[in-house]
Amino acid sequence: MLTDYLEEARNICQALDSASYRLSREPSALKEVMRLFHTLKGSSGFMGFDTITELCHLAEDRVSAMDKPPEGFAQFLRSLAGTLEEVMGEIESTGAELPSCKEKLRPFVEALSAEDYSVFLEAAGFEGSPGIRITPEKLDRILAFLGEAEATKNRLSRERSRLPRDLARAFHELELSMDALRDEIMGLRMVDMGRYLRRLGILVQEMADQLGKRVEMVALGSEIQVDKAVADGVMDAMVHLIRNALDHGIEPPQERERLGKPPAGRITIEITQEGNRVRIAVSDDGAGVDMEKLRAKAEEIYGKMELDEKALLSLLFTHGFTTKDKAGELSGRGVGLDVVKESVERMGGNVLMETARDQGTRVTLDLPLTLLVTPLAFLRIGNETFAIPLSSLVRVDWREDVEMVKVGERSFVKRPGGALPLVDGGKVLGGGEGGDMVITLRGGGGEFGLLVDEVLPEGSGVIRPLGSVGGKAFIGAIIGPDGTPILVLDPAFLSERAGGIV
Amino acid sequence: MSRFVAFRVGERPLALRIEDVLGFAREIKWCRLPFAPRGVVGIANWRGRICPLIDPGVFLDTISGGGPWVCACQGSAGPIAILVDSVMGIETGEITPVSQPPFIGIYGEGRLVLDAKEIERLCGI
Repeated sequence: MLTDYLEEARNICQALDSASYRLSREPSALKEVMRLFHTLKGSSGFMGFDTITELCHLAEDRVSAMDKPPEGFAQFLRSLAGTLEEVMGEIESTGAELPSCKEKLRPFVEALSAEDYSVFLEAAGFEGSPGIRITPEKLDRILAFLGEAEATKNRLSRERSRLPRDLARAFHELELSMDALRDEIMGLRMVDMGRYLRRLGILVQEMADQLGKRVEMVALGSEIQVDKAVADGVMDAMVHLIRNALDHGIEPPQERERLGKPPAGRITIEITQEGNRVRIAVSDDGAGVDMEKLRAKAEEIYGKMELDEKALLSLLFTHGFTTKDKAGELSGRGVGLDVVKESVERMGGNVLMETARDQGTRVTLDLPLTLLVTPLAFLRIGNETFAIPLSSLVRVDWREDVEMVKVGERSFVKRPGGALPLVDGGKVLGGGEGGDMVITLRGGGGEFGLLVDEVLPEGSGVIRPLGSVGGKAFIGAIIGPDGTPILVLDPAFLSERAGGIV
Repeated sequence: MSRFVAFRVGERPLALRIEDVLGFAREIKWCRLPFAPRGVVGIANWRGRICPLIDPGVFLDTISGGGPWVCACQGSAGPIAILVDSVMGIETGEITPVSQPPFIGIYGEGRLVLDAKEIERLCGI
């Protein structure tokens, strides 16, 4: 029962936050706010959470008397929604409305009693309690120094056995301190996904209004913390997926009723964490992808092919697949999904789509929790070392163990059930032709082979961007153990060189 | 009077305004950058920051020796490292502006002063 209450309460908090942004241009949103407080009052009263009940009662009372939101009320509402979410977190941990919850809600009860929301104007633009603010640029500079210090530490650790015992012990203590420092700095970059989900909630309603569709958004996992760079990077992809769900997935209300579905569609964003990975699943209960139309479209472009459902769906993420369908005849997905895949893969993630006709579609983005320290595979091509995100590495083979075929100017690696395009790393990156090993990589909408001279032991590093000097070929560079920069290859670029998927 | 850091690229004596210079290093860790824009030979580690390593000789009608010195200077978005064949030291002089990119001025007995940001621009970065 508590779980159901918390889920409903959290959805109400998000809806309150979302409504707060619409108050200035839609005074009718006040009615929605009143209804939300009324619902939360009822369920909180039932659970015996007196302070929340009293707060909601007071808020419902005040809002019902408003013609338009008074100054500071939108900020008040946002702040209250955020605090209520925090309180829900405490209730989830303890099962009770402890005095600390009452203490957190007290300023809101006082503001409602006095009908004075001006104090909350000051909080506009701040998330959470005020403290020392640090710019992302400054944090990046700190990280650059940390990266350098780590490289020096790694260099020293190779000489550990030659150190006298007291120095070795001191070095060990230094290592522990640096690990703790890195963890603390990484923590500074972590942000709650809640604030991103709230923004998406507003967008969903705006987009649904534009399309004349009815939809409710359910967000789960708003408390999960993710590196800000990942959260920022994935936001566009999520907007894209939601737009596709609304545009192509969720049917108009009449059509849904004809199919025996509720008139309002549902978009669910579920965020889960597993170890150092975060999964963001965007699902809808709409029409799903029309696989027959998709197959027909694929055959129109590529000719007759034997493709299973997974391979067919992967075509939707291929650059150029949907742009050729300018008339938008596909009833399923497609528009711009290549951009989603590319941005996720650039962060070392991958995308999975599942669909069922008339039941809906689910797209799962699997991403690293942080971009700070990325697990990497190291490769030697010619005399140079390159790195590649470990998440894009599928398998490693000796060249003599794989069958390679050449069709015209293109080379392929034979695999059971097909062939993968092959890129000669030396030829592309200027390290001479050929290589003793074939690595299979995932990127740019499919798998492909890369011919390299050697696969070196795995490692990790802080990837620093190269800016305009890097072009499209590299994600960035890390500073290697001896201080030399090591370029991190972009699998999507290599995939392009492979000529796309086959 | 302004202060300049004077050096040679190939046989050509040049200078940078001292306020544009972050430092010199005799050995710097760097790697080649495939697909690099013209003039960029690689990327370098300048005190923990990754920056482009540029051979200015490409733009100066001179054949540089490719180092062994590197002069790090302030670019528009961070440091850039320039290959320099020898360092002559700090000089003072009155600068006379010139409109002859990548030079911004001239001082003393005809010593041309490079503009680091103009070098960046010529590289297309």
